[in-house]
Amino acid sequence: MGDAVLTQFFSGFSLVAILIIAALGLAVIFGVAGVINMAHGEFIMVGAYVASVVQSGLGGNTFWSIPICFVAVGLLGLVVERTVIRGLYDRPLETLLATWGVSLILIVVIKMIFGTELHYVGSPEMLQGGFPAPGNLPFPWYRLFLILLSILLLIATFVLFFRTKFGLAVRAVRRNRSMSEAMGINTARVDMLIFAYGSGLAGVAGAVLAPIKTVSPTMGFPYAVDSFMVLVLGGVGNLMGVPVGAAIIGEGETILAFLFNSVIGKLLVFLLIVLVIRIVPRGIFGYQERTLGHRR
Amino acid sequence: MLEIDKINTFYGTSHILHDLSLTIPDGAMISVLGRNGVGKSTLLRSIIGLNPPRRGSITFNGRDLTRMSGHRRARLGVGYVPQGREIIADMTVSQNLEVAMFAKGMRSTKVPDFVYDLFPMIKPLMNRRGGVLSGGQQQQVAIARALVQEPDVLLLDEPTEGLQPSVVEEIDQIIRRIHAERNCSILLVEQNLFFVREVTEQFAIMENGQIVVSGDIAQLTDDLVAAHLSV
Repeated sequence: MGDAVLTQFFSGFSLVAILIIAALGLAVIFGVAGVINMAHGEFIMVGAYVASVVQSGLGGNTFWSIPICFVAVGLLGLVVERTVIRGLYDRPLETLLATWGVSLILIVVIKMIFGTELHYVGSPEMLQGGFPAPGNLPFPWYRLFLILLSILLLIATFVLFFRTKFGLAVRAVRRNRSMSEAMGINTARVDMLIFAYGSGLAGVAGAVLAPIKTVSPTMGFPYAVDSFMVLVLGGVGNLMGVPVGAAIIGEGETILAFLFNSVIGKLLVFLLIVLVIRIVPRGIFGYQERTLGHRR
Repeated sequence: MLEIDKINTFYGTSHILHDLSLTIPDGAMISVLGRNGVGKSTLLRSIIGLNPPRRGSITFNGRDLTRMSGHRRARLGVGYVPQGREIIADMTVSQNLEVAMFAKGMRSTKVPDFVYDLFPMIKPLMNRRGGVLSGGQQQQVAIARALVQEPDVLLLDEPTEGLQPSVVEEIDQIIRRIHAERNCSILLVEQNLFFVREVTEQFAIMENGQIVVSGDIAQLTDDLVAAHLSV
């Protein structure tokens, strides 16, 4: 029994990785720009379609689609920020509605271009097959690749925010927007770049999730829900909120689904999330505002 | 030279500054006086761009700032020390200074030596987080943050507010030295009349969003103080 749980624990890593990859872009945009992007799932979906075009149209595999999707969906995010979000920064409810509208538009546009039939994206040849994991369960190479990629994306984001001067400026904007502007930081440009970076991360998520999931116009929604759960649990005040939230949800769901069944597993995890935010409403790594106001 | 010409600034629908004009020549140090709520802070916020005026114009070294976004004003050489300091609490002192230099577009973000000379207390605090500093320390970091940008004009909003007397004395000494040693003009909002009389060269008294009296500091008589400043 213990061995079997251990096996589940290892296979749970891949779900954790998927949650990290899916939620990171949302966390970056919410954490810095303060925008709850309801179109996040659809950004992932667009990324998946771009990946399918890269595969069928250009003959490239996932390694090609990662940078291409990052740029393509990043540019999409840039356009959305410039046209829709720009005027709504201090109005959270309108932002919710507007980004939800964007999500509906994206679904329809994708349906118009690609039709409603499902698309399939294969994983790269060198990542097919697997290796024996503890407990003799075959562990697919592609899942290992996802785990490594999730770590890589976390490190890249950490370096961007905490090891570069641009990151320093971003953190200043997050904590005190008006003072940042007054000392010469182009806060509108920071918002734009962060929105584009977060969207690009959603594109990468689409690129790597396409091979393990059927690509369809409505595939984004479940990922958006999972991503929001990760943020609610982990909090957005700290980059650590994403991996910790993802780890609790991913491992919790996998192990509980094994011990009971997947419905009860999901139910228990949601119950846990409700309990946690009852105690720490801003999530485990939530940031407590210490200054008065000044967040626009 | 900073020229403010008949600006009108609003907070929402309430009209704060009424046709206010003021000129700050290069190298000058002007104190803005007035009771609470007359628009002194709003004047500074209009200049830096946090509350841009709806009418009138602000010209700085021949460039029109009136419609310019805040960050470009700072890059042109307007330094701002806000009321309440507004140090970034979860960044260290050195990061607070570095980000200011990066924001100004300076190539090097090494803290210049004059900072340690003007603010000897800063060196041991460089790796402390801004949020754990005392009010007086935060005030010094806030002034240092503006000075590392080598501004041409420095806007100081009540730098001694809420500080204990010995610390007020320290801040006053620093402002005095900045005026003498740093090549920038200073626009100071200050309640401490003793300091204003001793250090500044010119004054301007505000009432209802306008400047009602201004002139050389020698002209700041007790009668004027009684008429416009006493509560």
